[in-house]
Amino acid sequence: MRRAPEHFCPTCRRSVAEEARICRACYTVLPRSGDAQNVGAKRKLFIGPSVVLVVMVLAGVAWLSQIGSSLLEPSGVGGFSKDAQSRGTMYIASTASRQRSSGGGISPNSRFHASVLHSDGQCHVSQHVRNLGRETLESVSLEFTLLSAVGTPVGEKIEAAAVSAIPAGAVRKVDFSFACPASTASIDVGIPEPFESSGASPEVELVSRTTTVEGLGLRTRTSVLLAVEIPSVGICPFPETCKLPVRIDGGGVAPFRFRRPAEDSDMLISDNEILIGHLGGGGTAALNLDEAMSGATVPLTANNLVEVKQPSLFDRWFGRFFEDGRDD
Amino acid sequence: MLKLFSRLSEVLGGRSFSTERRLHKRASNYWHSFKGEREFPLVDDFRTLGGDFFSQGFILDIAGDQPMLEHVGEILLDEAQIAPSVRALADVPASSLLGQFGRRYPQVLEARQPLTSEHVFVTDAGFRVSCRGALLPLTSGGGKLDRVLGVVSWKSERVAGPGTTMGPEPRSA
Repeated sequence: MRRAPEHFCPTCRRSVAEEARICRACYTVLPRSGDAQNVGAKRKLFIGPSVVLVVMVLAGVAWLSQIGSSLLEPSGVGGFSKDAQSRGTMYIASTASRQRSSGGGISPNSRFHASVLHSDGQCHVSQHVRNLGRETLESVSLEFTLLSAVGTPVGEKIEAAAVSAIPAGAVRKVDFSFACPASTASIDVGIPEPFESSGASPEVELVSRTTTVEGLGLRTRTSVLLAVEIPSVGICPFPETCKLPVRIDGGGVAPFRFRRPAEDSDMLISDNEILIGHLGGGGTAALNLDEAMSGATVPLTANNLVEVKQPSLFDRWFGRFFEDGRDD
Repeated sequence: MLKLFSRLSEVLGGRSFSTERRLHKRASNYWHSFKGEREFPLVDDFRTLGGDFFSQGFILDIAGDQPMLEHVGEILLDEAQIAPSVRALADVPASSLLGQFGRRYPQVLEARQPLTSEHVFVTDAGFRVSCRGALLPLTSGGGKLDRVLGVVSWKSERVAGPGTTMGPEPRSA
């Protein structure tokens, strides 16, 4: 036979009748038995969603921390610019910065001429940029070393390098960094000027980066990714992956999977170890865009390989905390 | 408007709208707000109030020869250990809270105003219980004082004594 549960006064812990409304020992008013059950039910009703809410908030914070850098930090040019300069690596603007229009950005349908800056024995030369998009690109640059320019007309070398690096029909937006001949220390700097669209076929801006892209919050098993940026083309609907034909060493064509790291990014990422290994070993490849994408061929080299460091949640949070708190 | 607000506040749980925590004070405030231009508020105005007024209150019908219990709150009923069928105040144990405060109704008849009184005692378990009650003169209609509403609240604390290990712990009701 089941024994009825005993009831105790919550104050003096003396036994009380189940239906008692007052403890005659300490005069504590007791809740109705139904009230107690209701309180329990209400507590469950409250605690359940609260726990779910807290878990969802924590999950959201964790998720934000995973992609946090690309969302919470200045994205695109500003973010990469600072990062790349501090690392002294080559970089070019991410078109995620297209929304920016301040700070000397390049207006749509405008042409921006080269700038050459001379500092610390290095020349930083910007080749002209043509923005055929609908939004403003910021004037941030791709840099790479061009030692062979020393002693020769800089413009010719730049042109040759650009032609060799960028497929025909592409819009060029290239900054060079090379050992600076004295004669090029003060090259005139062009100013933005209106650009009238010629109605030509869509052009592709090739971007190659060799900076780390940890800010993109990429997930990969490998420490190296293949990254190529093709703005204003809209390849691979985010977040899906797509197969794109890649010609290996001018020979056969094989499909490789690419994906975009973010919805507003024009960068294509591949973590295919075969392709990465091929490029890392000095091989070449070319990404063949179809007719709808102007049919351009985008060369892929080791410059498109990006080292990716995926910091842990602890590193992200506490690393930042300690860095922010440092006095230097 | 105040009357409506007061009722609404009490119906909705009272405490979220009423800033007065003390039951006897709230009772007095209601009495004044319900009274209006009359000498005594209607007893029916108080019947709509729930919460502590109902569970820790009682209504005496003093129109007859002897006071009769028209309503006794369940807490007071349990404290007095009487059956709900008991109607005569004379049948209520004088040592109970209901008996203590109910039997003070003649003071209200005399004063014709709300009265507050106190009663302190120590239980067998060593708890000192400090009670405070309010008695309100009411009318069932016609303006004659024929009802008395009483509300009782209390707090208890354990007093020092043999075998007690707890410190003072006020409990309010």
